[in-house]
Amino acid sequence: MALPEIPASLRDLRNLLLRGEIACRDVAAAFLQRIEKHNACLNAFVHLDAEKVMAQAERADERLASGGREPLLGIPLAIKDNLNVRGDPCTCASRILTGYVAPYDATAVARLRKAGAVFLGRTNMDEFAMGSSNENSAFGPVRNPWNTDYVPGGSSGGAAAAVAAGLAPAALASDTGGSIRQPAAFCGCVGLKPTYGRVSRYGLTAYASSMDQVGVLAQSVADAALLLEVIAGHDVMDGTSLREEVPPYSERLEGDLNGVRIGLPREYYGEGLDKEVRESVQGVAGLLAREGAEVVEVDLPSTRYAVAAYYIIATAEASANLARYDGVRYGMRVEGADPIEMYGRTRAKGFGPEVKRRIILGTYALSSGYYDAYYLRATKVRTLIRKDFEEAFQRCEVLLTPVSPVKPFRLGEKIEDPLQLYLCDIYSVTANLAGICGIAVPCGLSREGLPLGAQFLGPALGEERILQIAHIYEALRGPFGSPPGF
Amino acid sequence: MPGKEKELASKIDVAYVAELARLELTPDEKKTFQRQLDEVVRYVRVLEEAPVEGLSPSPYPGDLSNVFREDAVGTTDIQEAVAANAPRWQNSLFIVPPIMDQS
Repeated sequence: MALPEIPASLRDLRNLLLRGEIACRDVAAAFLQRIEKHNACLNAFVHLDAEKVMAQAERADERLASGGREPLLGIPLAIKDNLNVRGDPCTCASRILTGYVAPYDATAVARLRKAGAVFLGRTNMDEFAMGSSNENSAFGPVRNPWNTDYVPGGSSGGAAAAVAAGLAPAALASDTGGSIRQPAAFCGCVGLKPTYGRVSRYGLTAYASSMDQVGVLAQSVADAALLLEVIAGHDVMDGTSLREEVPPYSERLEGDLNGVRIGLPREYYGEGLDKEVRESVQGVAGLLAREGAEVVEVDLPSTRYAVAAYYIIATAEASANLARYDGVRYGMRVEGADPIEMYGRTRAKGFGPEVKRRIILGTYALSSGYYDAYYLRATKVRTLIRKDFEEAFQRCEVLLTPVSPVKPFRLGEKIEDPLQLYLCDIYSVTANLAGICGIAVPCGLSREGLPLGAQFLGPALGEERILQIAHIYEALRGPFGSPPGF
Repeated sequence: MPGKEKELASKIDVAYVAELARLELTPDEKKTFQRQLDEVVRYVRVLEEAPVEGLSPSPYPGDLSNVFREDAVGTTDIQEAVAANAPRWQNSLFIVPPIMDQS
């Protein structure tokens, strides 16, 4: 069967659907066909039920025929495997959740469902969202569509690879320390991490609750804005959900750069930054300056403590959040003579090495006698980082930074050295520590032909502005292109 | 442990902490994690240099206040799904190994 060409933007796709020039079932079938063709190589999807996808698409066609005009009616979306979709597996790419079927929809999922979206399948990730190369998955690593010897980034590596390779028009994912922005940068798509509390975390499997945030990966800033509009907003099921109204982000993208002040934090362009990444992001600054933006240098002096603070706070929270995987209520169980033996054996078999390392580090940081020295001190450093950003945002509206200090790297290159991988999170963890918003946008290709990303950071609830500036940049940059062969 | 608050350790007792975390480790895992986590623990000592005196901690990124709701009885339709997820389930109960000596 010849399937239709799918337009690159969600708005164009929606218009075709509304005009009846294309049917939801043809769109779904086209994506299923692409997944069928490329997933064996990329390993981006870990659960997919084609019949269920087609049934959703048929229902969307019926809705359309009867006058349904929901904003995402018939639009297929991929969902990271740590967000609950009722009736679907939700394994967080962990053996310990083998066989788990979600009894309910996460709030963000429920909102997408209500908006008419068709769920394509669950995307691969680093186990429990712990990692930045997608090599920590019980389902095996994801490969970067630009060069399959390279990592796609993580933890939302499957979502990023799927969106970049056109296996899904966009994806719902989560970002605790860069897990949306860094894979977006490595795969050449847009990744939006909203302000903490902007999108409900209800139904997102908890990793580090004070930093986890639901966001999206998309092929353009406009698509990301459209999706944020649907998923954002207050939810009584999340005690940290913000009550502020949701602006019509997708209608506020146009503007110009006259009088806009863009800050370059000195600490994000210093030692350890790859030369190609630096030049590429500086190119973004130059382009924006030529269009009328004022580029200023700012200081974020506490940046040097950020990775340490992040890995203490995140692992401390993870050690508590992951205590629930004990073989009692869900997932796998390895029997033991008593509960303690059962817990130890179940967790030994169920968790992969990175999750074990983080649980041990977090347990240590919270253990008697060490709590003040590690966890309490790290949360005070977090206060410093928040103050840094508050002061910087007095001087400029948005910050422009690299997403990662390194280019996409080869599979296996860094996996034996956890500390080196942690240090690569330096430019992304700060937004989660401070609870502010950020967006990654592709800005160039490395010598090896792999994508490089720039990050715009805005203050809490500054999504409207970062989307606007990223959208203006995207237009100036021009089409980024697809990975060769996709 | 007096004094511990002031200075961060340079080593971690992986075997002991894993026991606290209810994680059985193989001898190989113990060895590898010991080396990797000692490195991480040495690295995070950079926190000692941060000028945090007099600062309040931020356990969350923003200011939080308590959220209340009516203490009302509701209904749910997920019991079957919950039961289906349980490794062992009988008479609406999760079945676990005995906790106390049965003799």
